[in-house]
Amino acid sequence: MSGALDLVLLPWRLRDIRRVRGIAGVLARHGFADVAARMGPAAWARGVIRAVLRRPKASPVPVERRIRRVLEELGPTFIKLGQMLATRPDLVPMALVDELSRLQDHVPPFPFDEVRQIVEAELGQPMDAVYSEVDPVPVAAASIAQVHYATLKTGEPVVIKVQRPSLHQQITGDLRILAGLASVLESHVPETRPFRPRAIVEEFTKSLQRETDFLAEAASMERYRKMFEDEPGLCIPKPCLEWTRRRVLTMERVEGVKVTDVEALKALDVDLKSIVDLGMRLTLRSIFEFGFFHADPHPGNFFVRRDGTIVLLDFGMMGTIEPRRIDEMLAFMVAVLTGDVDMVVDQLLDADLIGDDTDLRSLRSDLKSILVRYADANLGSVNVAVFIQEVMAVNVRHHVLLPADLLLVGKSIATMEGIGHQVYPEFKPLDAIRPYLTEVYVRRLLDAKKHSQVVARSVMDGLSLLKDAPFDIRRLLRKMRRGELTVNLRSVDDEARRRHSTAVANRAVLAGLFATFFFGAVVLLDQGGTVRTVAGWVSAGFSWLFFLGLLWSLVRGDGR
Amino acid sequence: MPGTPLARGIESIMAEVLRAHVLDTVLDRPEVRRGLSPEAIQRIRSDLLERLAKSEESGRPDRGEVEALLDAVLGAAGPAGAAVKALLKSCWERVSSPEGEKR
Repeated sequence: MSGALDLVLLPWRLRDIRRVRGIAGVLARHGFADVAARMGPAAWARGVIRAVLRRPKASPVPVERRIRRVLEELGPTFIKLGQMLATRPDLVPMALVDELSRLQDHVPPFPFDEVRQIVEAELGQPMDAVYSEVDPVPVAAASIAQVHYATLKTGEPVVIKVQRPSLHQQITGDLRILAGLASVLESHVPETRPFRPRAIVEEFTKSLQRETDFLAEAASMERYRKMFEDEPGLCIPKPCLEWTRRRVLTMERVEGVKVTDVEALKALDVDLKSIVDLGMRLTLRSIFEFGFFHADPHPGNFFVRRDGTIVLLDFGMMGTIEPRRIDEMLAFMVAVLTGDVDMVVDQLLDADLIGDDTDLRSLRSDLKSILVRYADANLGSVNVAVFIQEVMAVNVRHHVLLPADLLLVGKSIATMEGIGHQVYPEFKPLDAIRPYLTEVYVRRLLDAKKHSQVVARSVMDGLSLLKDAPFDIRRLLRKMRRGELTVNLRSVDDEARRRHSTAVANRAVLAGLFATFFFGAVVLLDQGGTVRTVAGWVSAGFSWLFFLGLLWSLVRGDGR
Repeated sequence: MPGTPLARGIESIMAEVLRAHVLDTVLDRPEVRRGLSPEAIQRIRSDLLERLAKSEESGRPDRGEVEALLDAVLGAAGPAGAAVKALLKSCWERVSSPEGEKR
């Protein structure tokens, strides 16, 4: 990639130049002057030029650590970007993933006067009119927000989460810079295309926008509370929607001991094993039963109350999975956990994740060597995080692009396992994970309601197609006769779009063939006579074949 | 559409097919046998049998809706529709035959 970045093409906007120079300066300070220099003349602050001219010797600090420091220094957007990349071992090397997992999200608090200003601007009334008391010393301060204890006028103890001042402007500017950079990379540095930098920045932008909208966070808290109504061992603080806005979140105050503070937990005399088992069960249920899970389950967001219930905090970063993806993911994970290599490869092929250049025999053999080893091992001795890393490494080596949601799920389970080992060293995660996932897999395969919904949807789609097909075909034929039919061809290099277009084209052809044979059959059978009747029945048979093919295509979706 | 008589009818038919022909095949898969203990498989089997039988029975009165829909769709297709209907009927009779129930 060296030398490939065209300086002139970097599209910095005038209003971003100051920030770009700041970024370049931070890069130069941490030994990345060559990268800073390639950000274009606009980014050449004095520090950058000096650093380039000085041509420093190679830094003794490992490059991964320097990258982490750069991100920490650049602030919230880059810290969050680093945290997202820490969940993508398919995109960044494992050593960097490990380093990024250590990203510190602690920053000095901002003054209470600014807290008051933001709260009053958001709630539209003086702070004293809503809260009888607000502790000016924050309980916690992070890159997105800080948290204060308070008491509502009604006497209810609450916490207020207040977004950092000017965060929105800062993030918006940073995202613009990142989008520009991604666009240039994708257009001018072909090596980066397989990693789809533009798509990554788009995905990251959406995730960050959600995380900085506290109304969305309150909605996630409500959803989680409803999901786990039947789970008395879990406590999610209730958001006070009346006093929650985009930048201010007011919620019930729930106190507890940090889950990794084992001494304090022992002092509470709670059963550590049951806490860990519950934590893992909640993680698995949220992913595989509800498809909505806490995507940032680090120990700082887990607390335990005196009665042993788990308190889960911070619902800014959530993962969602479509029901169909849950089925695919379950099948994949069950195959991995039961050591069924053929099923693993079939799942990867079905999900269209294996590249054309992948040597299937070699992939099978590498996966087998890992899966057999783990299948033979005592379940209790298996470290899930290491196991996931090994499977990921094989996939990465064989150019299998694992989907982001699967990686996020892997990361959530591995994080929960890490917490489990810290709290209760004898924790055996696979003892719980394997039977749980297999049971959910079986239950979903045999869910009559789910299957009937798919059938009903296909029937409705088929009916709608049948209803519209004659009209559409007549309109198409009329246009053809008049010479008005125009075909727009556009080259789309996006693989997903290409598959979608192919599927649509296939369906159109099938619909056309179905209609032709169907109407042909009607006309022939109507005319009578042995030959015409036989031809009519043959034509009818073909029409039904095409109709079934069309229904099949609709049920299977794109790219099949 | 969920909750309509048609949906309940389809669910009932689907539950019967799953109970009579798919349940044991799924529970017999190697990955399931490797992932669950025999006791767990037995527990899940009884629970699923009960659930599927419940879905099957609760939607049985609504199966007529599915038949009516098929009649309407296939009827519109003329003689070919009648042939497909006969084929479907024969398939269904085989699927819901006592041999299927016994499994």
